[in-house]
Parts: sequence; structure tokens; C-alpha cells
Amino acid sequence: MRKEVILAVIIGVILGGVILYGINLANTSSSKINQGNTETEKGTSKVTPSSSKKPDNLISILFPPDNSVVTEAQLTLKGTTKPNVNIAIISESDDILTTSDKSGNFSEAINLISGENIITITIVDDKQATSSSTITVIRTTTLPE
Amino acid sequence: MKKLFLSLSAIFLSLVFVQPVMAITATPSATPTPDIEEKYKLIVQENVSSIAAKLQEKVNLMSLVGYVGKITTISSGNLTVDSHGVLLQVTSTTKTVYFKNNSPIKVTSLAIGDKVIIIGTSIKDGIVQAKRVSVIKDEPILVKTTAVIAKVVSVDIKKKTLTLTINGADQTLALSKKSTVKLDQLQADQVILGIVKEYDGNLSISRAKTL
Repeated sequence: MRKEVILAVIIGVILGGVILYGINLANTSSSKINQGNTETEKGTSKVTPSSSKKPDNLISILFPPDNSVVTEAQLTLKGTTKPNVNIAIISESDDILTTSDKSGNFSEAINLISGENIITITIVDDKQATSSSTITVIRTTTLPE
Repeated sequence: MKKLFLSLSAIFLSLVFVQPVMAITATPSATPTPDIEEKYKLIVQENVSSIAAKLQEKVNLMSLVGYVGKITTISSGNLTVDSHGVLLQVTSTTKTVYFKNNSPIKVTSLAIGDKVIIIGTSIKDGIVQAKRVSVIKDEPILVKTTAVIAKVVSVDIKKKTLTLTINGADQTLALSKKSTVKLDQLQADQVILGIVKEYDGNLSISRAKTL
């Protein structure tokens, strides 16, 4: 009788241990899968967007968009073109000569008049070839509802 | 045998049912209590609402387009406008407002040839739904500003003039009012990128850079 009880306890403990180990293993695996998914999501959000292909024209104005409406008296014109080229920016209030950086980026503060502002950007490369692009920005002090 | 079976079952069941309880108590609590969770939710919601309102304002501004041009046709409140050589169809809604000299006017007050600023939303390429149409003065552009590549012919520091070869012709330019050109740094035969202004047939230079 004693032997039977001891045997039963031992078998029970072993069986329980096996089940516990199995459950623990399952829990660990499931939490690893969840962590993996979270990391993937984080990884996706960290991925920098692939650089958009530059248009065929030599000047790409990134900001402001053509025919945009603004309320501010000054904005920062941003664009890309060939690297290290001379740039002339002509607007209603400003005449600016600048150069693009080694990546072809340029950025200049432009003062705006009330109403229509025509901004012309002309680039001159090392062979003195020119290319121009024009955008229009409307400045208004009050926006329509 | 019966006792053995009972004992085995008891031990087995106790181990199976106790495990989840143990697991719960053993796992460190990372989840906040319901009260804190509610507070978090409230704070997040408030922030999201505030950011959404700001973004909406930006989106509204970004979605607006503006054009300047002359009215070529008027039909039932809809306009055709010539904006720098591009014909634009301008539709209206009951909310479209019309202004002249900062005063509201009726659409019937618009006339062909009026120069207008149209602010609205782009429906598709070439079609704008106007929110506001403002009649402005049609003032001629008196000063024409261009960027030129030119060769320096001569520099007259006394007279503060510069003679350049522009498009094959020699032109003498004065310095414009806000000119930053330093004549003493320019010499004959240099090629420059300049910003040139033409007013009433007279040329002046506002910016110059040697190439």
C-alpha cells in the first residue's frame, strides 16, 4: 500500500512536471512570436522611404507647391537640382543668387507680397547652360471659410 | 489499485490547475491597472484630438489653390479665366464669395476682362471650385526682372555703370536701387550670372556673380 502511494506521487510529479514544462515552453514561444511581430512593425516604421525618383526636369521645387495659398509674409523655398550649380531666384520682392549643395539641394527664404507672387528659379551649370522653373504662390491675409 | 488511480489523478489535476495561477503570479505585472489605463487613454485622446485639429487646419490650407487671371467668359456663375495663358474653369457653390476693393459683391457684378484672384479647391486639372473670387486692379508690370549670363565689356566706377554683352548685344546697365554688385570686383572679359531689371527701356543690375 505504501509502495503504491509513493509510486503514484512520483509518477504524478513527473507527469505534472512534464505538463508544466510543456505549458511553459508554449508560453515562451508565443511571447517570442509576439515580440518578433512588434519588432517587425517597429522595423517597418523605421524604414526610410525610398528616395523618390527625380523628375526629368532639372529643377524640382519641393516647397511651396505651385499655386499654393499661404498667409505668411515669408516662406522657405526648397528644391533640388544638379549639385553645385549657380541658382538665380527672382520673386516680387527678392533677387537672390545662390548655389546648390553637393547633393543638389537648395533652400532660400523668400519674402512675399500680398496677392500673386511669381517665383522664377534659374540654374546655370558649369557649361553655362540654363534651365528655369516658375511657380506661383498666392498670399492672402485671410483664408476663405 | 483504485487508491493509486485516485492519488495519481489528484496529483495530476492539482499540478495542472495550480500552474496557471503560478504563472500569473510569477509574471511581473507590466500592464497598468484599469484606472491608470483610463487616464492614459484620456490623455492620449486629448493629444490626438489637438493634433488632429492642427493637422486638419494644415490640410485645409494645403488643399487650397490660388490662381490669378483675367475672366474670359461668365456663365451661370461659372467663369473661365485666362491665367498666364492657361484657361481655367472656375465653378462656384452657394458658399462662394466675391469681393472687389475688399467689399463683397454679387457674381453678377463680375465682368469679362476683370483681373481676379481665385482661391478654392482643385477639382481636377484645369478646374477649380472657387471659395473666394476677388477682383483686383489690373496694373501693368513695369519692371521686368530676368537672370542673364553675360560677358563684361567694361566697368565705369565713376559713372557706376557696367557694360555687358547680353544676347550678342552690348548693353550699359546702371546699378539698381538695392544692388549688391561691387563694380570694383568686376573686370572686362569676365562672364557673370546677373539679375537684370528693365524699366521703361532702361537696364539696371541688382545682383552679379562671376562664373
